[in-house]
Amino acid sequence: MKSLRAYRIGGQVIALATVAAGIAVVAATSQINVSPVYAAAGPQLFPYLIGGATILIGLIAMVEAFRGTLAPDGELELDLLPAGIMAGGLLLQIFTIEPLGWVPSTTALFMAGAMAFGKRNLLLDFVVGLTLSITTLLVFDRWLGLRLPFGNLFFG
Amino acid sequence: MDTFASLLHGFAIALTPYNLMWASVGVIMGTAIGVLPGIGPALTVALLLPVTFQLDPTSAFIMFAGIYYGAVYGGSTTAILLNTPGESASIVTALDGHAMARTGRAGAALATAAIGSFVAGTIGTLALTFVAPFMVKVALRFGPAEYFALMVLALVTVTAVLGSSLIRGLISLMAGLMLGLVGIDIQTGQTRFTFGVPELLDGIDIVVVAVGLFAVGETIYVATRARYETEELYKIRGSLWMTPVEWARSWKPWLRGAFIGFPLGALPAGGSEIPTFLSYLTEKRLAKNPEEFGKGAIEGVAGPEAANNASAAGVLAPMLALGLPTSATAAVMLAALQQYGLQPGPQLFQNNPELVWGMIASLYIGNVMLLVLNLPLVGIWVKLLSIPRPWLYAGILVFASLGTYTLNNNVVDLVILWVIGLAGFGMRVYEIPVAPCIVALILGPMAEQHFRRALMIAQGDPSVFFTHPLSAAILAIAALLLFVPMVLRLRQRQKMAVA
Repeated sequence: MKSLRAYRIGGQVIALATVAAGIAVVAATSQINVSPVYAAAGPQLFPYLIGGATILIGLIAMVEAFRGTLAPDGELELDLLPAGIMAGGLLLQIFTIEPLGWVPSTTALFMAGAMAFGKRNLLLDFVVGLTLSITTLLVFDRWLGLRLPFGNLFFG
Repeated sequence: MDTFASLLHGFAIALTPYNLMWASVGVIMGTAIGVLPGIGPALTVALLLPVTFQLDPTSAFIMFAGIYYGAVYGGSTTAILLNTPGESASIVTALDGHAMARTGRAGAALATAAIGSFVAGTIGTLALTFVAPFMVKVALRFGPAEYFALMVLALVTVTAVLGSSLIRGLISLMAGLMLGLVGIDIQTGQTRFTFGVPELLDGIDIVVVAVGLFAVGETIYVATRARYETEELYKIRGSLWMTPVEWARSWKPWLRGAFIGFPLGALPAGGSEIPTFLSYLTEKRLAKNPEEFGKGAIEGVAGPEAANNASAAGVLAPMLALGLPTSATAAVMLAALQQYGLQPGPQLFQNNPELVWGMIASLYIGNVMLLVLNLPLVGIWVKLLSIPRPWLYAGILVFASLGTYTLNNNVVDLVILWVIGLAGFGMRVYEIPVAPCIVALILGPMAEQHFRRALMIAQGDPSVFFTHPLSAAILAIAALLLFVPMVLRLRQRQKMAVA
């Protein structure tokens, strides 16, 4: 559950992140080597403009964030655990998709997604997830010709 | 007439059994995915992109046409039955449409949406047929300065005209512009912001961003709200047809909606919220019983649905004729076309007319298919919506990762998806709009190219944007759109502070 104050802080973080991003862009741009031929309208122009504008907008956002107008109106109740579960499931897939292949990693992702909504019937989720990943493998890899990974550990 | 000849040629291409099959696949898949809650047309096109990779460009375009119209239609089904509009354009439909569902008239709501979509879609596609070539003629006189000004206008309208606050839109815009900077600078071959990661040389794929922001972000958000929001799915009771009275009340809103929708969709006005809201207000003003609105007035569904479909056709006009996307969906479609090495715009009309006209012809065909297929298939869509939420959203995540991974077959895209998905969740919580980011991602680099080209032609003289009358005029409009609301709001705040 989030309190109004937590939202305000979140808003300030967003504004701060915006300013930081702008500064990062400007800093990274200065590292780009430019040959003098393109000095007028070279690869640095737009990044500088965009970075500068972002800093400006971030500063305005900070003003609004401190005033409290950047946070969502009213009480927005969020249960953050499901977000964590889903993020975890996606991460798991990132690490396992190439070593283990499409079917196991996607089945795990499906189960994580279902778990995030509070369902506790893991076996059923597993079966449905497995069916879905195998079906998508057949349809998209075999029939439509896209290449889904089979698992380097097994077939590598 | 030139246009008719081209259109007939387009029909000849679109009416082959092979292409007809792909058109129907597009319509069905587009509707099926568009029906899923929280998935709007932009995401539907993005998710179904991998399916089109195996096709040649003509058939792929044709399938896109089917997906596009199908997704727009699917979203209204969800809005009526589930009260969770899949996209902002369906919000208005949900108002009276869901009210009708609650009183047992879901069938009539769906029917008026379907038929209205057909009528408006046909009118809109007809208008597109004539407006697009006209735009091409005008655009042939455009130089890079004018294109740049037009893109600035599109970016400003997508940011400033919608959404609750300008600053949120601007944050989204800047995020998109920054993401667009990643990759190789075309004019100098210089790599920018790739941080040594070779997969970033091609830039950040708009599909990954669209899927991340829309699918992953939305799914995470729904999961965090799951405890607090329950769904109410209304089964369809009663017939799927409309009574004569309902027909009589619907046909004028259909026409009015179409004529409101197309022009607003064609202008760089940032998508379909404005036409649908405008149509709703218009119908309310003109109705004999305005009190019914909000409780199930059929005009409140007929008009906005027609406006939605007509504006969907309208959005295609600048996209195809100028290569200028004015909505997130158009941006994704533009990216998809670019992946085939094709750049929509006047050159495409001149060099590959069969592609463009084949697509436009398919829009007519897709429209008919939607009407014919969807009313009987409505039962299946309802079944789709009855899938338990956990599985539905878990399935969305699966398709999101499928679509993302198969773009380039590398895990880096999934990592980007993850990061952007979390950002999308944050944006959803803080009501930061997503469309400016997506449109900026694709327009930013394009605008930069035109800007630098214009400068080079003018030999470094930046006043070129203001000495060209058209460019100056467009930039002036953009500036007005940006600053006038700000000034008005400041004045309001001052008045309230004094009072």
